[in-house]
Amino acid sequence: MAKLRKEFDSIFLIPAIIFVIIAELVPVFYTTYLGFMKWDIINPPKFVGISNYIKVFTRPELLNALKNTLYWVVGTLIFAVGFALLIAVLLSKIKGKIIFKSIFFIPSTLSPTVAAIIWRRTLSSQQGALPSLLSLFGAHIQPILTNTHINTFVMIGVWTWQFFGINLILFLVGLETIPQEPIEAAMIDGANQRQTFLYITVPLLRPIMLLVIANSLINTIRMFDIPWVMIQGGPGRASETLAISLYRESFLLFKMGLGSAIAVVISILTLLASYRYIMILGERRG
Amino acid sequence: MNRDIQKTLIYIILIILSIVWIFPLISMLIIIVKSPEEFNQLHYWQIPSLSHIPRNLITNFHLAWKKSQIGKNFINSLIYAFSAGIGSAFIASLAGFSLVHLNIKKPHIWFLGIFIGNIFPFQMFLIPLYIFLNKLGLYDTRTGLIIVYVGICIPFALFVYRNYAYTLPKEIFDAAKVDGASKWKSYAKIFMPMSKPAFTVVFIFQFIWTWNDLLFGLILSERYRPVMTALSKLQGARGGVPVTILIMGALIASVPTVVLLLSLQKSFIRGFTLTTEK
Repeated sequence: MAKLRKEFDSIFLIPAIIFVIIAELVPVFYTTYLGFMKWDIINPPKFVGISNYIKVFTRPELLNALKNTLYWVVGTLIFAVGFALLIAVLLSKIKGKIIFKSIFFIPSTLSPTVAAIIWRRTLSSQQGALPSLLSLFGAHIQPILTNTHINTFVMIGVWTWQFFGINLILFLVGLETIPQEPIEAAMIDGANQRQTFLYITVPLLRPIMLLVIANSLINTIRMFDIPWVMIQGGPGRASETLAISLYRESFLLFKMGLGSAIAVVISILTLLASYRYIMILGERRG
Repeated sequence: MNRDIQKTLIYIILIILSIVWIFPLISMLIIIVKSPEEFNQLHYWQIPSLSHIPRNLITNFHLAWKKSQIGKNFINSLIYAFSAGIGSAFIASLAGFSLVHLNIKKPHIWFLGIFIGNIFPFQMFLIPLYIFLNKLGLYDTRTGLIIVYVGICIPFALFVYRNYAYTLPKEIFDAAKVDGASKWKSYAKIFMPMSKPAFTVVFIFQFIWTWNDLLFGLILSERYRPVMTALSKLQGARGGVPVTILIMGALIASVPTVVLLLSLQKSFIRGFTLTTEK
């Protein structure tokens, strides 16, 4: 009887398990399986070994996507994370923090799709806000988004515009919880501002840093919305990220096998990048 | 003196940044106060005569909502986002409650089994979900999208509920048991009302995530598109609409998340920092 009651408890878990099995666990195995297949949806899948993976790392357009994804990861770490930390430290020293904090937070309330639409309009060479403003002063600039040398970096700027505010607030939360005593003690011992920042503030900020960095990595390795809405990974396939390649190969060119292999690569990169963070989240407790 | 210069410099940097941050938002306002014709004829920074503005705003709104069908997609997204927010919170609260306060063997393993869904980027689920929904006849249906959104939201929701459940003392539930309350009763009468903060965090996160979704909508729907997917289609070479209508559509599509985040910013930030606490 007691045993029966114990098993009855798992009824509470069953809905969650069913949803996760359908929406996540089975798909993970299925995608992994498809990664070894050649499949156009119409004809039956054919086993092709690791040739999809070889394509991911040899085809010029996919290597380019890998390179762009790397730019996204590094670029957002520098700007959306590093720069946010710097500004958070500056903000913590002045009055009127709340005003700036609110201004920087506004774009975070918009969706990436909307942010991309706004910036596409702002930068557009046909009646765009920025070129029109500059033309009032007699300056004319070249089209920005179709310039393959800079467009990925411009879009990293758009992402920074959007998520800088959240990161900034998280860093400010972290800075507020740091006790002042060790900093004062270090100052008395003759440490300068840079030293106290590097050796005391940064280590004490570690939990927040880990969170912000992991979030940034997780979100940029799978970057899709901004480069897709702004320029569809173009011109041509020049600014494609891995997530856009996945979409294009699977749902526009119907190469489900190759698309799945790209999905697996995105997953492995994400797992490698967020391994420590995941271990902390999954920790046994209670 | 040196400190004053330093402070002034900081203010100058912050003010310049603030201008950059606000510039695109202001420039969008310039767009929506014009009619499509005025947008093409006037210089970008030229504002139309004031008497035209209310009429232009109303026309743009009307065209975006009705003709471009942003209204229909807005309603779709409301349905998806509420279903995902409330559905995932409810299912995760049952699971979180049972993992912490009921007798489930190896609760840690069960937690990881569900939480693993949060570890993979959702690109890993796209192709199979597209195939499953097609096979089940749920492609391009609200039901299909709701199942997907709820499923994707559950792992994080469980993470929040489980963390929260640990903060509730076991004694309350033991006492309820002694008083003869069933498990369902302690869930409904004690756990549910007490876990309101967890609900707020889960709801905000999942509502926003679902509202902002572009990719699942792109792949799994045509007629029942969520609003972001519909919006992204409005600016294409094919099916593109006048800029004034597109930007009005973007404004309409932003209202729910802007309102939610500005009013509940604290809970939102709290949701992030949850993961740094032990």
